[in-house]
Amino acid sequence: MSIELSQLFSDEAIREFGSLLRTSLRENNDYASLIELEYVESVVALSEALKKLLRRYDSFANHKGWLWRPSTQSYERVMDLASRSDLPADQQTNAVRLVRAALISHALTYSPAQIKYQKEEKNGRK
Amino acid sequence: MQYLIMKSGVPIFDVARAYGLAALLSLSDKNGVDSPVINETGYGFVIEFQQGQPDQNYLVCNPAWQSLFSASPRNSYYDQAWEGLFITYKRQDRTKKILEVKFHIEQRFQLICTESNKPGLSVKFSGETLPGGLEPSAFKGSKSTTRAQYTESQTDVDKDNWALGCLGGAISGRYIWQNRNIFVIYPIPGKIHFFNWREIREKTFGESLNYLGVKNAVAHYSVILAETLRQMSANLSNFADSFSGLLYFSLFKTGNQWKPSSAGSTNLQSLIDLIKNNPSESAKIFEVWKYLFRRGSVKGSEDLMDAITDLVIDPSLESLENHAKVFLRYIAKKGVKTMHLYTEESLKEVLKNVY
Repeated sequence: MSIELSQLFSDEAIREFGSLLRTSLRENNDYASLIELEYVESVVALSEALKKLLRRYDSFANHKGWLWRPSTQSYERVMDLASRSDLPADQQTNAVRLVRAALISHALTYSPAQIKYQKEEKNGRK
Repeated sequence: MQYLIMKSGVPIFDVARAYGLAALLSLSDKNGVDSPVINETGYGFVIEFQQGQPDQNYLVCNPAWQSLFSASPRNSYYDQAWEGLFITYKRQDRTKKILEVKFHIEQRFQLICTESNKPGLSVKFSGETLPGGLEPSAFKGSKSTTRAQYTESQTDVDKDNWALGCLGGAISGRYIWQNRNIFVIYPIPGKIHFFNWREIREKTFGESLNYLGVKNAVAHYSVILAETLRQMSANLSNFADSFSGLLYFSLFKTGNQWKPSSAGSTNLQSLIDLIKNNPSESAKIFEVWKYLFRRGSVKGSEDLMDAITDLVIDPSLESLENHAKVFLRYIAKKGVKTMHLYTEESLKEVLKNVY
């Protein structure tokens, strides 16, 4: 399981949605999306939670004038990773939990680029 | 030359005896160059001491040996350890017991060395009762002589092993005093050079926080120990020492007596793997974890310490999710500096160990 979780964590689509969650949480205080994601148990619930996260992010990003959004392909890829139709039914929930854990874990991280951006923004304010 | 401590089935006592014999050999070595190496095997602890020349007269005159038993500000680790070790005795009996350990070992030095060298030192379950601060099993309170002549014969062992165990307990046991509790932690040697152990003890025994329970103390100590091993392996080219785990228990005070509370063991393998696989990322991970323990030791932030304790001791998916849940709330609401956050690479290493 551990290898699979770290592989999921490194997946590009998971990384995109993970950084979206991180930005939403830190810049927009979007706790609602975090809580919804934490309690996701099924593919349908995950899909709903991601859509809501995207919607909340959209309104915030529009206001800020940010252009970046995760691509539709990334969304589909995340759903594919969570669906895992090749697995038996009892293990499908596990796949959803792994995707959920990988997504939420991204919110714990920072990237050196983020620090650079923060420093530039701080200097700009001065 | 090889020396052998046969396991008796009383785990903490066995570990303490191994450290005790290694200390005895090291402090009695005339050459003082070679370090005894403690190796754990299935049936006991093998102590390799190739170049050493243990000598009774040298031991008795060695100031380092004498200072083990005398209270001084420089000896605060030993003082705390002796105090904790004999906590189930009345205060006036404790000094007597400490000196009893010293004199018994000095007198029986040759026999202990000979027996541990040839057939191996095994325990006979009769003689002196084990102090409650050394071994928590099968005791229910005071070990002092009482008017009712209450004894606990189930923890009786022969005096040679008793003395070695007590010596090892004072040297290897970490005693953390918190209010009316004592948390005791013993690192189980996988392969440890005794000289290195002295350095490790100096580096790891000083750091202490406010813990909710012994489990928190063990998790924090295991992170500090792993970080110290990482630093030493980075600095010393041929460093290959390791610990296989930690044994722990706690004592709590009820009225006048100290009683045993929770006890257990934890495996250090996942942390050792982390160091071996990726030393640079493991340093960052340990920094984050140490920060979480520090912050979690403050009143009101205990959930942070509990969550990281679970992740360190039992790195399961549930523990990871709980840790993420709690940590994210602190990041989002109370603020955490970026230097205390995981990088993507370091978190990936953590996830590799999650089962």
